[in-house]
Amino acid sequence: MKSIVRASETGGKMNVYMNKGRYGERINIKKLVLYYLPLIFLLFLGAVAETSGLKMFRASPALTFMFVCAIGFVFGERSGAIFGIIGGVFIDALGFSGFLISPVLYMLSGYLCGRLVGWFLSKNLPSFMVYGLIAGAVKGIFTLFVIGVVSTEFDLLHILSKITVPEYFATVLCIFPVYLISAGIYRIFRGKDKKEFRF
Amino acid sequence: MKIFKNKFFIVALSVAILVTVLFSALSVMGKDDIVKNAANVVATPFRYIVMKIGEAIDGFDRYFTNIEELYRENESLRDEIDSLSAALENERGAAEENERLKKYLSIIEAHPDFNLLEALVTGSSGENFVTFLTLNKGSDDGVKLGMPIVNEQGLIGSVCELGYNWCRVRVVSEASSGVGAYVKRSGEVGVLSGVVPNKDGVTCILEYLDENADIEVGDPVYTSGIGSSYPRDIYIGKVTAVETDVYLRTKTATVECAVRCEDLKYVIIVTGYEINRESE
Repeated sequence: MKSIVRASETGGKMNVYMNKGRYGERINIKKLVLYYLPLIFLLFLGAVAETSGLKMFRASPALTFMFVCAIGFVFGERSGAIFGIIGGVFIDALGFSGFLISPVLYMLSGYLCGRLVGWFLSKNLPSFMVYGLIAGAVKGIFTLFVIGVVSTEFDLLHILSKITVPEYFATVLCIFPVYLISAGIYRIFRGKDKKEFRF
Repeated sequence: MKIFKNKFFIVALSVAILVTVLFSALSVMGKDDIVKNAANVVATPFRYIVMKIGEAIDGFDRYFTNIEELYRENESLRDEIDSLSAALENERGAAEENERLKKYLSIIEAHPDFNLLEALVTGSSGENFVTFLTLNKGSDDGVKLGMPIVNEQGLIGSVCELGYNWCRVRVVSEASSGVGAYVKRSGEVGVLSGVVPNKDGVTCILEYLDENADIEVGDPVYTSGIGSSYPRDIYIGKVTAVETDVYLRTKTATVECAVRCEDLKYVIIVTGYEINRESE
């Protein structure tokens, strides 16, 4: 993979381009910054909300995790990986994770959500809902694993009914809004030609 | 697998692992507070907004899950508003503050050596049972690590992380906490430890009691001031069950904590006290 940076003049303005993306389009660095800054801010807000005890139906949703998956799905696997690392750092810095492996977990999830687009399902809301349901289950299993390691008394049925399952349903409730936000930002800045855009 | 065999994935995974290792190393060395302090200082104003949004969402959720109680509570509040009249509307803020100050006075009367600082709870975490609280006071307000957190009902926990304008509290029912405690009636001394709540809602156990310890269901449990940074004679809760281990020759008691951390809004940080003041 080459990382050649080329500059060209278009209509009297100087634009800086990266190498061609996965779909063969040229990518504008200015657009990248415009895309990424609001997404980073929204990820930070999601991490703050998740670690401030925000509850939906008595459970805290994995808001940051779902956001990372949505970004990977909409913007591509590379954006998903990058924002996965950023989101994981926010969660570990603001939260109480005893393992501090959120950057790795979130990075893998964001990357896979972007990479698998087009393999099994197309890029639309129903497809993301399927991805979201699966990703929520993976997060729930990880939560179960963490509780199993930390707690001295592990009652599987009790933890499933009081923690894991409510967290799963609270997380999947966030699928629709996070997808709308990510897709909305993508649509606003992708330009008048509306070509497919991936970093 | 092809999806993992590309340069970007390897680089990204390496960066993620590097960040994780760095965080873990800083945590082990005890120097992760720089990053956490910076993140939480920026997050503190947003936490308050999120807290308000969370209360609104929680209120919306409770409408569907607790409607009978809402109707009864609504009727009770209507009656209270009718009886209070227009003067209470103007003095509501002062009345709430007055109530809190009265409760602080009862704490000072029980513990005249305490210096108190009120704090607002801006966040909580611990999945569906509260194990940590975030407060809006920090080192700028004179808060230090290990300071006890109480309210008029009893002990809540202690400060475990500290920033400029925020601090984090580990509650007594958190799995890694340990508080020197004793049974008021008989003087039996043990260690109160938090546990992950089981199906019976048990969150604390009093351990290391002698096999012949004089302890019964209903006994009040207080801090002993021994082996920890908590001052003596702060109410923790009451004994709800007692078990005897014949092989280890010890007794273990389950303790129901007096304070419900899920409903906390204001708490008190004890900024000055004498650890082993003897009870009168």
